[in-house]
Amino acid sequence: MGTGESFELVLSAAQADEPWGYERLYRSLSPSIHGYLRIQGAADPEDLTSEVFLGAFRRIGSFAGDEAQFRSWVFTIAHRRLTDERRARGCRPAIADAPLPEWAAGDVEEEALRRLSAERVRTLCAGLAPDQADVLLLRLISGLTVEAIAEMLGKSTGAVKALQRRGVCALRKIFEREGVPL
Amino acid sequence: MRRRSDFSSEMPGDLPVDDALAPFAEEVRFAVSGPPPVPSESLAAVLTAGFSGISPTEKGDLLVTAASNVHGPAPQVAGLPNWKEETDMPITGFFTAALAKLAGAGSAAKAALAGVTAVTTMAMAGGAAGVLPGPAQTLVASAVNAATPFEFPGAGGATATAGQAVGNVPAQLPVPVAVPDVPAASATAGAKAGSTSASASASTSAPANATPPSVVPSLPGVPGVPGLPQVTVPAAVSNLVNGMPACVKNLIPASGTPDPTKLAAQIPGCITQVLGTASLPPEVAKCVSSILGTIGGASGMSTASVPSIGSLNVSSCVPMDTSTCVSAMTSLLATMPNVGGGGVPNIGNLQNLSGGGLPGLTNLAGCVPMNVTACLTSLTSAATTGTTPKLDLSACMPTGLPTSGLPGTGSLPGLSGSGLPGLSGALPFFGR
Repeated sequence: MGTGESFELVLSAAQADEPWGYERLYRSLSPSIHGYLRIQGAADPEDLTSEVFLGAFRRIGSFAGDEAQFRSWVFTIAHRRLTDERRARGCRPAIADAPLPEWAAGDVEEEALRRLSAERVRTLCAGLAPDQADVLLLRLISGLTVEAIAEMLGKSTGAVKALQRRGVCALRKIFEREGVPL
Repeated sequence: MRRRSDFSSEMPGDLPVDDALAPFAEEVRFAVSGPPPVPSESLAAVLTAGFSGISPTEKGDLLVTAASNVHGPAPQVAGLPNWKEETDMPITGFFTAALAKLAGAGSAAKAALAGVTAVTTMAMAGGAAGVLPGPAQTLVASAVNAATPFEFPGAGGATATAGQAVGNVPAQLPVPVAVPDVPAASATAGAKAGSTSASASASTSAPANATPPSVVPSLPGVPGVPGLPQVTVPAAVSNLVNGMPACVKNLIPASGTPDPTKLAAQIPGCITQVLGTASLPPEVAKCVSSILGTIGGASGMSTASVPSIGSLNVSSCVPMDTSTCVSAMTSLLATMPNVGGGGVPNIGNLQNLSGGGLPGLTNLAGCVPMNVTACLTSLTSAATTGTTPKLDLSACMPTGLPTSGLPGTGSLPGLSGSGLPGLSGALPFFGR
C-alpha cells in the first residue's frame, strides 16, 4: 500500500469498518481514480471519485483478493460510474472542451505542470476512438490486464488487444503529424 | 516532487513497447499523479468514523426493512411540494464580515469602497426618486441623509458638507448591520430609476424640460488620499412627504446630525405606522419600511423590536438581481488590497489597486442598470492616483428607459395621472 501496512491488514481493517483502513485505501487509490475520471471528461471528477469509493467501501465486505485485484475492482466500479454518468448526460463528453478542475492541494509548480499534462492527454485522447482511449487509459492508469479490461468493457481479449494496437497507431500518427520526435 | 521522466519507465509489462506509447504514457502518469482529491462530505464521514459511526441515512443500502416500512410507505399527507420560494441571499453576515475586514484595510481601499458606496447611494437618492411615489422619494433622501456622510438638498437645493471620516466607514455605511433580510446591496440598487426618474419627480412642480438643480456634496477626507472627487448629483428629492405618517417626517431633524440612538428608538414604531398606513400601497409601505429598517440596523436598532422585520426587503423597491449584485460586490471587495480571504467567503487573493480602475466594477450591473464603468472610473482613479476629477453622476444613471407615460400612475399617491417621463421603465418592476 505504500504506507507501511500490508494490503491484507488494510483490507481487513476496512472490512471491519475501521476508518483507518478506509483512509489508507482511499489515499492509495484515489489519485489514479480521480485522474482517470478527470481525463475521461467526468463532469465532476472529485464528486464521482467520492461516489466510487463510497460504493466500494459499502461492498468491501464481499471483496476477496489481492491488491491488484482490489485495484481492478475499484477501477471497474469507476468505469461503470463513468459510463452511467455519460448515459445520464446523453452523450459522450467533448473531452478537449471540458474544464479542468482545480487540484485540492500540493506544490503550485507541480499542479501547473500536472494541469498541462492533463490537458495534453485529453487533447490526445480526443484524437482516438473512444474505445481506444478507454483501453489505453485503463492500461496505463490502472495497470489492469488485458483480460480484466476485456471483462470490464464486455469485449473479448482479442478485441481489447486490437483496440490497444490501433490506439497506439493513432497516437503515432498524431505525434508524427505534430512533429514530435519518437 | 516527481519529475515527468520518473513516470516514463512505469509501463505495464504486457503493453507493447512502442515509441508512440512512451510519451503518451509519461503524460498520463504525470497527469494522474496528484494528491488525493478532497472527499465529499459523505465519504469524509466514512473515512473518519466508518459506516457504523454515521447516521443511518448516510449508510446507503439498508440491509433490512425498517419495521415502520413493512406495510409500505405511509400516504403522503402534505401534498405535492411547492416550488421553493425565492429568498434573498442573507448578506447581512457577509457585509458585517466585509466591514470588519475593511476596518483593517488601507486607506486607499477604504476610499475606493467609500466611493463606490457613495456613488451607488447617491444614485439611490437621485434615481429612486422616480421609482417610488412621492412620500417614498423623500424618505429615500432622508434615509441617505441619515445613514451616509452625504447631505442632499432640501427644497432650495442647498449644498452641505458632511464631516464624517472614512475611517468610520463601518459605522457610516447604510448597511443592515443587525437587521436580517434587509440587504444593503438592495439599497445600492436604487439607481434603477435613474435620472429620468429624477426629472419625473421634478415634473410635478416644475416644467418638464427644466434642468434640475445640481448639488455638490463633499466626500469626507481620507488620510493619505488627497482630494476625493466632487460629485454632481442630479435633481434632488424634496417636499414629497404627503401621505406618510408623521413619524417619517420627524425622523430627520431639521438641522444638525441625526442621532443614531434616537433613530434606533424611533424607527421600530415608525415602521409599524408605515405598514399600517392604509393610504399607502402595500409594496410602497414595505419598501419604505425596509429602508427604515436598513437605517435602523445601521443605527443599532434591535431586530426584535420590529416583529415583521423579517418580511422586509429593500429589493421590493427596485428591480435588482440580488444574487448577481452580491456576487459583483464580492468580486469588487476581492480586488481591494488588504481585504484578503479568511472570513469573507469567495474572496481570494487580492491585487493591488491600479490606476486602470478596479476589476469587477463593470459587473456591478447586477445591482444597477447603469454604466458603472463610466460612473466610477474617475472616482477610482482619484482614489488610486490622487487626482480629483469631477464626477458627473449622470453617467451613473440608467440609460435607455422609455419616457412615455404610464397608464395608472395616477393611482399612486403623490403622482399625477398624466404620465410621468421615466416612470414607465421603472414601475413595472416596482413591488416585485
